Amino acid sequence: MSGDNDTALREFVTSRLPQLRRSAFLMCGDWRMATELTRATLARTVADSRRGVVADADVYAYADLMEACRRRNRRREHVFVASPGAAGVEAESILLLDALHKLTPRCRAVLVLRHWDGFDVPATGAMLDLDEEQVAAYEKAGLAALEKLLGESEAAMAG
Amino acid sequence: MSAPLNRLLEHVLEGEPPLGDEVDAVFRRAARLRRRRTQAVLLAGAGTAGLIVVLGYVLTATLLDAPPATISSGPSTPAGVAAVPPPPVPSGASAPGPAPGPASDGVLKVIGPLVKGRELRVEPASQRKGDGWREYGLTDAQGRSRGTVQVAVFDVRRKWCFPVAADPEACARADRASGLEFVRYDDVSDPDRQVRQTLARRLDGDRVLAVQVAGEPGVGARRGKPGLTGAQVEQVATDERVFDAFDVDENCDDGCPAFRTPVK
Repeated sequence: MSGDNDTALREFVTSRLPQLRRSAFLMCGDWRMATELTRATLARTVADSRRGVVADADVYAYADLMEACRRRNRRREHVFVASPGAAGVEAESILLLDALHKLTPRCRAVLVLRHWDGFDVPATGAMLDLDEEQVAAYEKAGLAALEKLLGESEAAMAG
Repeated sequence: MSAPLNRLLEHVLEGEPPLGDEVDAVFRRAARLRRRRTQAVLLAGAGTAGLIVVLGYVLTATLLDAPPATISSGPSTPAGVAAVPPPPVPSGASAPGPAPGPASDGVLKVIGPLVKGRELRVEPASQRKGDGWREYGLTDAQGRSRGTVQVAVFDVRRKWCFPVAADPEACARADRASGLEFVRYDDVSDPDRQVRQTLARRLDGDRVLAVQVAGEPGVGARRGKPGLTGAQVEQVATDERVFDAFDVDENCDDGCPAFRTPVK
């Protein structure tokens, strides 16, 4: 039973780790920090799953990761850190990351979970401890702010 | 905006570093986390157990240190001094046994300071007691035996008189002090067996108290001296607390120590 559980946990970690790390990067803008936060989140998920206190591993892992990102990166200003040895990053990507990190952490988390990870409103609410109306409000406000910020950035670049 | 945002974010993630052995790192970290939690639980348990032990010790010490109930020892007792009655001895219990501890032994409370003043001490292991009698061994600073102190109480007839060693038919003339009459019988003529003894009787009672302090026999005149002076033996014998240290039913009969001047 324990062996089966460990196999299932390893499959879970293997399948979720890349996506979780990308979500963490979108939240914090630093691949090294994203890797560290993802590792810590999945380690807690594994340890608590073995204790039998995790009902839904996905909800548990994403909720833990978003909380860890929020605690780690309270600053509103953003510093984008590319991975070592990575090729040049397009200017549009930097602008998008910059705009994303000008949003409030909760707004950013809603956009990442809804539009990158593809979770529906109830699941996103469960992960962020929000009700559905709040998720919808954050999403609407976040998209509007993001559109405005991107528009301003593109205008500045064009000018 | 949703579909474009999704596509835009895909571009942002270009240049993602390889995962490497991250999966194994996750499980190693989970194992460390589990060990730390186990240690934390064990430490918390040990801390709780330690706290319980300390609290138990403190409570026990506090409760045991509470002063026992005391009664007044009578009009002749100095002000502020209370006597503790000795525990009752079961009837017929004449076999010697270990003496009561200093906290409950009224005799020891009287002789203890006197012995200490002569740089001797009562050897705890040597203390014995029986129905109507107590015995205490004395040692010096080097731990050498310095004889014994024996105290006994006797029921006597109304017409009992203090004996005279040289004449069994004669009565000794007693001295009086604060409701008591007493006679000292010191015999230090034999260097190998020096004894100081005092008999005392309450004027209004039929009980006689005998206090005998004998030196260690067979060790010469100097080391064989009794642990207390004759005046100190008299002081012990005329101390009401020593009388009160014995239960009213006690009478030195079976197993009673041999006194140089017996009480008949």
